[in-house]
Amino acid sequence: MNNASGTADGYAGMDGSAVVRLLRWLFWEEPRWILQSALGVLVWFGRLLRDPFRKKEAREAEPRERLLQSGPMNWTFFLLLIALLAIGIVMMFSASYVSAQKKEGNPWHFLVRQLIFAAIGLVAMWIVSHVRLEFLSKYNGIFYVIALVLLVIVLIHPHIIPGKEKFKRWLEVPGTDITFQPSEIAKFALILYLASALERNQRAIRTQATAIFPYVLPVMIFMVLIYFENHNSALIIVATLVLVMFFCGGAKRGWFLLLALFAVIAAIWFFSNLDRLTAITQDGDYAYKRVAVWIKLLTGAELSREDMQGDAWQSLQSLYAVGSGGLFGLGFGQSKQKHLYLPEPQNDFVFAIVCEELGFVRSALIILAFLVLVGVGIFIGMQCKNRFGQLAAIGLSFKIGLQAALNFAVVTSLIPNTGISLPLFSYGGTALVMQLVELGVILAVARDNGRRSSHALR
Amino acid sequence: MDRRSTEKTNQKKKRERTSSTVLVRRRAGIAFAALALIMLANIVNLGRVQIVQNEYYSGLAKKNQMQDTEIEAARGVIYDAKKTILAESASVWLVYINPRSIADEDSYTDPATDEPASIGFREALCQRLADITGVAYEEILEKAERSSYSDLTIKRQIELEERDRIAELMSSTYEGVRRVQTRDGITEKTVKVAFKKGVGLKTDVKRYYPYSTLAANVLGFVQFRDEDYVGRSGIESYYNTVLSGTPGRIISALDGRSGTLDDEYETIFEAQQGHSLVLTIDEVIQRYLESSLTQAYINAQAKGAYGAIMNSKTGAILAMACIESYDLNDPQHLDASVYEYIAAEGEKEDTEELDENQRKSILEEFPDDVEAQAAARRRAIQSKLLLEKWRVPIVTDIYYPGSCFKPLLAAAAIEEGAVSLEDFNYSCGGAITIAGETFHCHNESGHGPQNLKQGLMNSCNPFFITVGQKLGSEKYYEYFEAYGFTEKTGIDLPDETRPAPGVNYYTQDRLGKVELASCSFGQSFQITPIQMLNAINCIASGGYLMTPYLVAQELDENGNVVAETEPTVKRQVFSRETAATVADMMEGVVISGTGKNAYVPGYRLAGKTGTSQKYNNSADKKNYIASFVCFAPADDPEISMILIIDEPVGQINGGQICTPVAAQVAEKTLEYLGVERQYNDDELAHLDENTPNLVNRSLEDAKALLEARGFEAKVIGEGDTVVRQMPGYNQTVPKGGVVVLYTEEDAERLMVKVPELTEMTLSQATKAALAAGLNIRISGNSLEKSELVSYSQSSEAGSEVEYGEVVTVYFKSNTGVDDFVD
Repeated sequence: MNNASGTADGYAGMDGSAVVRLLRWLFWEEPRWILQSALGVLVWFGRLLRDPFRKKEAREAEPRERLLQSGPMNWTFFLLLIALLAIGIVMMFSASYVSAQKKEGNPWHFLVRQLIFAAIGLVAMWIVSHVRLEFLSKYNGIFYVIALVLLVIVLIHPHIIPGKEKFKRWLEVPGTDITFQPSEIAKFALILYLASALERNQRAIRTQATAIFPYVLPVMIFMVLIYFENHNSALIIVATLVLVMFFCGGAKRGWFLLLALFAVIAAIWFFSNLDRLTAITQDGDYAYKRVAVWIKLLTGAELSREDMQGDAWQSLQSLYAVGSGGLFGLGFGQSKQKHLYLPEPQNDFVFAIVCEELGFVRSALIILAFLVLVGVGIFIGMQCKNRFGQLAAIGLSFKIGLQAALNFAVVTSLIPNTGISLPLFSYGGTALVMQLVELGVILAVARDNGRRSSHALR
Repeated sequence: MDRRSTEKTNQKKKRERTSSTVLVRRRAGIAFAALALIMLANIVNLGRVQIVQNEYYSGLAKKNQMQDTEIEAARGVIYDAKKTILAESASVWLVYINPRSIADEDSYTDPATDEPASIGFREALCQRLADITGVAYEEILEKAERSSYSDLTIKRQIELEERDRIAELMSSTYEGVRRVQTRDGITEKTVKVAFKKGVGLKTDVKRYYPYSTLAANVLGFVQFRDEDYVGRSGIESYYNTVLSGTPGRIISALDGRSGTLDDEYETIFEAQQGHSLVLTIDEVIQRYLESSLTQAYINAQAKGAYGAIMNSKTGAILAMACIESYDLNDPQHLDASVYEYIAAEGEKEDTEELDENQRKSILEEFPDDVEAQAAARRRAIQSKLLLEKWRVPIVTDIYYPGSCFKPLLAAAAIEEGAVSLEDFNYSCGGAITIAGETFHCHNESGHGPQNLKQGLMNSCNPFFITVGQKLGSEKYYEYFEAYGFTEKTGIDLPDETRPAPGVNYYTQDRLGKVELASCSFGQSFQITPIQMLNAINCIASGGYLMTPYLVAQELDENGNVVAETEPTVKRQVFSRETAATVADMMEGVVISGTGKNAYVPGYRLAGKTGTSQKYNNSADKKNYIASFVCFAPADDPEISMILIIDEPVGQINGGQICTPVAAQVAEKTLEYLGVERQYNDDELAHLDENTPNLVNRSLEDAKALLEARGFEAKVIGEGDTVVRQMPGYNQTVPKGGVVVLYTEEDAERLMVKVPELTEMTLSQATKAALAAGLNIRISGNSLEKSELVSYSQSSEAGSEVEYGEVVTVYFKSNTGVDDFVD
């Protein structure tokens, strides 16, 4: 399994001068692994194509890794996610039909597309759940390479949404009107990559503080590219996920204490400069403005008319929607705020409409359902026998949970308005497929667990 | 590797893996706990927004989602009886500022000092607005600094020119300098701010009164109060809801694009446009009444002069005048002298303009501040004086009717059979004693024996005291009530006074013989002039007490009649026969009694003079009210009238100062109404002639024509044909008058100077006029020439007029018209 068998000591033991060794360690070892892994899967596919034409002896002398596994389905997780998906699609429809009617001339527009992608996503999830973990562990470098290429392309040739010229977040699938965010793929690729990387060097990671250094470059490449996309929310999520991966992967505690110290200092600085930050609304860039508006919303300061019409509009409209929901809501389909008040209610702010229509009790239940889903996902990870499976399931579960938590917080202005969608609820076909694939990986871990435990019983 | 060591290594590996897995599990647990904490925070926060702030946010959401638009209702027009516009609304503008937006534009935090700073936009805007509107800069600035407001009105009722200047300001921009933080440090940056961000125009309405002072007290005016224009006095106030209508509302659900949603969300409350009113008041008659009353008011140096004319048959008020009037377009105006008076009175702690309570409360409100006390007193006095100016004394004030009440007492006594014209006689010896109390007659030597008609003509007090005693207090009070003196007339004007029982008049249980005696000549009860007019009208209308009214019709916005006032008979007080008898007696008063100055040839006025003491008499100064009530023609009355002169100086008798007004107004009004004159033989002999049309006739013909009609001819020029005549065609010229005939086109007109014709007897005036080459037309009771003295002339003495011009000279009699005794 541990074919790379490298540890920090292993790197240090390489040939050459100390400087060259250090440079190799920092800049080459992991990129090399990624390239090997990506090329390996190509080789694997090449052999898959070649094998039918080879003699049986030759095939057996050089066996391919098995791609698929056959473990049992984790029905708890599966039914939970299906339930959330169903509620999500129905509520997305309720939130969106007004703007769909106005903008597309067809109230069913978003629903139909979401249903098609949900079907594709569910098939993909089912397939992915049958992939052997070892295969994913060995060959996930290909995802990294694909994400890297897309992240570069998106900077060169982004799909620009009118009115949001600054943001280079979307790519268009050539020949279709389907767009997607490469950063979504990047998150997935990064989680799988870090899972396998931390598996490969698990002992060193646990024992040496410096052992995490080789992974800094692959992580930083993604983060820099995402930074140039002007995509702060993705950056924050990626950073958090990386942290969680390192944390769960067993990195030394000192790093996190250091980080916590920095966080505390940053928070103190931030809150001591609140008023000054709010004053930058005029000339500051858009993120600043959103933060400033958020501070005003949070502190109950009076919003200027310009704010209310501009940056605070969405947040305010969202609060109006959530706030008018009350304990039991206005009733399904009865939202007033979806009547073009709340911009793009099918998207990042679908949960505001959920709150308005279903009320606090049901909304809180949905939040708890997400928490349970994540909990089950993490539990699946904990049960796993190998490190890759553990970290992949934990990381991906945490990703879903983190996105949901941030989305809930944005909707109630607990944090500034950033573009974070709600998994399984928000409209967005490729994102939905991506989420289902991620959940498929968790199911694959579950199948692996089940397969091994039944094997052990036998 | 041997098996043992392999096993060992495997065990070690396993332990390692196990402890490593434990670490992963623990850390995953921590991560999950952190996430669970975030989720919990979310749920708590959601609860805060959805439950705690539910009301707040749903309120905001509703405000956000609903549009409440007011549909303005136009205020109705007030027309006179002939549809002449007396009051109408026009669209004007108001200018407002948006202090919040001004503050947003103006203020910023100076990065150098971290202090709030300004770019001077607010001050510049206020200065420009002050220059345009004339509103004080400080006043505008004070409003502009209230930065939590978004709409404060600076000035209302702005007209076109000013509006244009504000619009011009709104299209310009202000340039200011502010410091900003940039990458290179702090730099100054010029910012442009459009003035329209801070100032705006809205539509407003303004009420226009084309005749400004005409019937001002009756019409009333409109004032901005509580976000709305409301009638402040008069008809505007009484009919405010009718005139203003009801503004409509559209409450509609909006979508986020400010487009209204489907109809199911929309509620429309249609605006009910204000209705227009057609008054019974006729602008022409009103003008007659006002101009004559004003003249009398000036001559008498009176405190006020009031009059009203009523349609005898319906109770409709044709004119109602309160002199002095005020300008409806500027109701707050007070003369400079009044302001001086207010300033002076305000200094006095015991000013009589304020009552005890007001004085006390002002002293208590500002205990130590003498200046503030004076200012408060001034404010109180000013508002009191304004209120006094705006009221309609005819319905709000009470007075002793005096002798004017006598015909009503006579009617009651006749109706009850207590006295009769044929059988009742009383000889006045100058005084009468009732239950030990002696009442004097204004004629101290006594009027001698009189029947009812003579008693009324003489306005003899002992006579009517006797009549009253014969009627008895029970019957007296019955009629007192029947005449409507204990109730409101119900006229459609605000603040009508109802005399207070026991205070303003004796209730029946208090009505002893002495009280009845003083009541019999109208001196111990107080009523409003409109009550008096309405009661007198009983005689004119054949015994019916009507409800007086001012509004004939209510029109909707399309001019359709939606309501029409039907004349209302309250009750019949006495019979038609009694009414006719008393009317005949009253005609006698005008023909040769105290009311003879009201005589109008051919129009048969029936009236009664009155002169009463005012209740505010003090020892050193006695105040009087001179009054006259009348109706005409006596046999079939068309109009009833009351005239009151408040506190006249010099001549105080109604027969002296009110009757000439009655004559002038009645004559013009009846002429205007097209009532035929009925001359008796005596009048026919004195009748004036109308001039024939002589232009284009030959000189011979013209002279012959003039001679036939009893005119003299004076020819100017050498021609054979008359090209011009003076006086012109159909002018009323007294018999024996001269007519000038011009026979040449370019002949110079013969001009003469008008001599002084007042303070002369009839023959003196006629002689003087003829000597000057003028035709004299006599106005006044020409039946009793010897007593007449002229008091006014139509062309001013000393002015140049054409030879032959007709000058009207007004005569009145000063003998036998006084009816008052101290």
